[in-house]
Amino acid sequence: MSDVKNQELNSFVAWVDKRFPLLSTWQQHLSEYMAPKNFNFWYYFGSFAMLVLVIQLVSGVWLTMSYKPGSAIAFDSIQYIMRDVEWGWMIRYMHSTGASFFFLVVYLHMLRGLMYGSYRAPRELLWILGCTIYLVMMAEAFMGYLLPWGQMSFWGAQVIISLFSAVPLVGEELAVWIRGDFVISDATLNRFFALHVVALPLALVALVYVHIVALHKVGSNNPDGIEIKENKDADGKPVDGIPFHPYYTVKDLMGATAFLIVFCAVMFFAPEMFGYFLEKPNFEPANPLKTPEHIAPVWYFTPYYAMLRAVPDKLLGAIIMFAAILIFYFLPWLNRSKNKSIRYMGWMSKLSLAVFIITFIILGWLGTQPASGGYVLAAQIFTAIYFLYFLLMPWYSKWDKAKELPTRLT
Amino acid sequence: MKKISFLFATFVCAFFVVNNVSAAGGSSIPLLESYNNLKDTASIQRGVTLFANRCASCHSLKYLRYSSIADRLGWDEKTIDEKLIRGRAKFHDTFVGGLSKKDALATYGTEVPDLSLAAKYRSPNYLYTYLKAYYTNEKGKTDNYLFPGTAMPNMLAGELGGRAPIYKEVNGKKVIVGTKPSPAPKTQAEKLLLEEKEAKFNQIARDIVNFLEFASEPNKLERYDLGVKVILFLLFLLIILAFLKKDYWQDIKK
Amino acid sequence: MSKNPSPGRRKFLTASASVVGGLGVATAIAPFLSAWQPSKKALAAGSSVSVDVSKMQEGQLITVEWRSRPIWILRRNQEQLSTLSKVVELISDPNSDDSKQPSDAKNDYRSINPEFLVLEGICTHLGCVPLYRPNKDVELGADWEGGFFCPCHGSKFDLAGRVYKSVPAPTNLPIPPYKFVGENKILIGESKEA
Repeated sequence: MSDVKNQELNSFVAWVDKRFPLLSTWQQHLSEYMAPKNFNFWYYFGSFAMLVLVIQLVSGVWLTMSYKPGSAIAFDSIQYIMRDVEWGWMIRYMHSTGASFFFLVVYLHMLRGLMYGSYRAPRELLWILGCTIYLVMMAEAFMGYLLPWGQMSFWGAQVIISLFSAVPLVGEELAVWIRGDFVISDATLNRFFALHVVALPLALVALVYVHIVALHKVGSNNPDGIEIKENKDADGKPVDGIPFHPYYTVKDLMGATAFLIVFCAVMFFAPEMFGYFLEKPNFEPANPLKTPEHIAPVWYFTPYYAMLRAVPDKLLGAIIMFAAILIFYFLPWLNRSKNKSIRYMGWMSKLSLAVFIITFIILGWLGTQPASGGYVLAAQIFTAIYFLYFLLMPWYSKWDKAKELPTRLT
Repeated sequence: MKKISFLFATFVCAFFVVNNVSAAGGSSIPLLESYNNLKDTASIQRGVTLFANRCASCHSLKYLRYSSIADRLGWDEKTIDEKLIRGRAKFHDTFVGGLSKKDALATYGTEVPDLSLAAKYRSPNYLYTYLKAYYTNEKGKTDNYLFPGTAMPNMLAGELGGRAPIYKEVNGKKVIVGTKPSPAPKTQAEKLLLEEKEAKFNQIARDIVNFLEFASEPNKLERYDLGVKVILFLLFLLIILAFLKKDYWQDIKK
Repeated sequence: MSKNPSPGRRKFLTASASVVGGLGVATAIAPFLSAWQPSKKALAAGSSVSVDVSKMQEGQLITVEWRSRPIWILRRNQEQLSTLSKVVELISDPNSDDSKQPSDAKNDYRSINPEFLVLEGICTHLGCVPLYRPNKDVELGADWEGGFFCPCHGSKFDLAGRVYKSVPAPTNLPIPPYKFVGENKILIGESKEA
């Protein structure tokens, strides 16, 4: 009985396969895609990011069904979703929690790249694609945050778009063009809505696709930072490689479930995360005549916001902020160490990475604080350290004593 | 594994340190703890009645539906109509109340805020403290130490009687941190009476705050209940998947 | 890679993970499906509408909105009521057995009080709004005694909303739940039986 069924299934697959590369895609990307066998905890975050992307897309589509862009109706429509739409509250919290978790997961994914040298040759393009995903995500999150049309939505957008007016010569015109008005207004809200729900998600999905294509071309890096393709058996398969499916699919499923537990804990019990995921002033409708006492972006932007405020010059501040993001693109060419993984580097590289992580967290905290006195000075110091991590990398990575690499994965 | 736990612990600690520091910052006036309890149905029942009688003539709750109140409080349509609607609206409508913008400007010189989300853009503790922060200043005028110059009259003045400010030094600044009876009680019996009065007043303030927290998100309790179930389910699934993963991975030579 | 030592165990674990995981996914989908149900706002708009009919003249039709649908109230005179028995032969479901109405309006007049007909003014064919044609009209056939005519596909209904034979509409015009509160006040949206 089951044999008959199997045969039917097989002939169906064969039918499709003649018309679409079903089996070869399956084999190339899952069942015969050889991944290093020593992936550790840090290698979960790529698949978590994919999971959150799906959560965001699905919950986002559903929110769009009840959300209404428009300065007079947007705020009300959020409360309509929260109170009147069946399960609307859950779908909305899913999306708002998802936004923060997307950044959390992507930051940890990037940190993994920094630790194990995942951006080094031959993975430069993979890294550049990843940085672009990060950039698009930031634009996506920034525009999405305007949609609830709360006080923080309005004033956050007002502050960031005003940055463009710092551009020499055309600045003021540029800012007006972006807003479509002289302040953030209905026109701004509608164009941000269009970009947030259509244009940027499309770009994001396309970029993620290309990111994975690039990954599967060069193969995954691993905590040891040595290439498994350099050590193959008689069949031409990497000795230290294992097929992604079933080994990593089953492992990632387990990881995803654990991740969902954390996700749900936040979503059901603390979706506002003490004002860090959903800021308190955003429960007041946007009021163009009254600025909240203290404007802070959502936590994932605060490191850059701190850097922006650290510089007393408007144009220079904006340049520093954007430079801090764009500098990630140059990492593949800044790191000159012999080995890829931090495991086989000396104290200089280890120390600088540790300092960089702490700096990033402190800058993030400073970005939530008022811009006064000691906070500004601290932000200036840590901004300098942030940049030094990148700018001094060509030297310390070269001088640092490299440890001997093992020939096989450990 | 050790390293991972260490890193995670660092992140968690960093988060809480950051959180506490920033919670301590901001306004220098310490907030009182409201001890309100969303599960206390009787308290919300009293709260909604108090709100309807004392607050709703000026404040609206434009997002809260009578049907949501009915669901939470176990009141049927008839009870809701008798206690709250009084023929002015229908069961599924939103709460009737509030002054028009014009009337508000004429009466108070400012718009009266809608309170549907008050417990969100402020906090329950803020609202509780606000209700308790009225006192009589040196000029003999009523003021509110949490929101000096507030346009809102003290709707609960009769419940507590005269209050004088308690000063304290916070971060080198002299601020009001609470109020005390004024005139001060002379006898022990008077003192006991005032204490009893204050306890009653606290309960009234707490009931209103409790209702407002409910009003800010009527589904909150439902959300908590569902959360427990979802997480228990995911834990169960995680255990199965952990066994499955272990079973597959025994193939792989270390 | 070594051989799988116990295939039975792996099969069992895979099956349980699939079942439990599948259950989880199915449960997670449910809220998204429920989100398409009418919202509380729609319920508020769809709650009952009360209509005062004391000022209606005989033969007059008024339209009120309930759940965003046109609801007709027709005050029928004796002459109009008498047409109902004349056309019975031409009607496809004279006893309203296959049609939608509250039980206290399931009678020859299709109404609680014969004088007042309450109908949902939506053709049961494809949802157009029929026209009220109370007078004799050759265009609609020699035996037309007055009723409702749907301009979209030519369905015909009599003065009780009953559908004629051999027209596209399958059933009589539906009657919404309604009840009388007081002599001249109709509450649409609530029925006595409920």
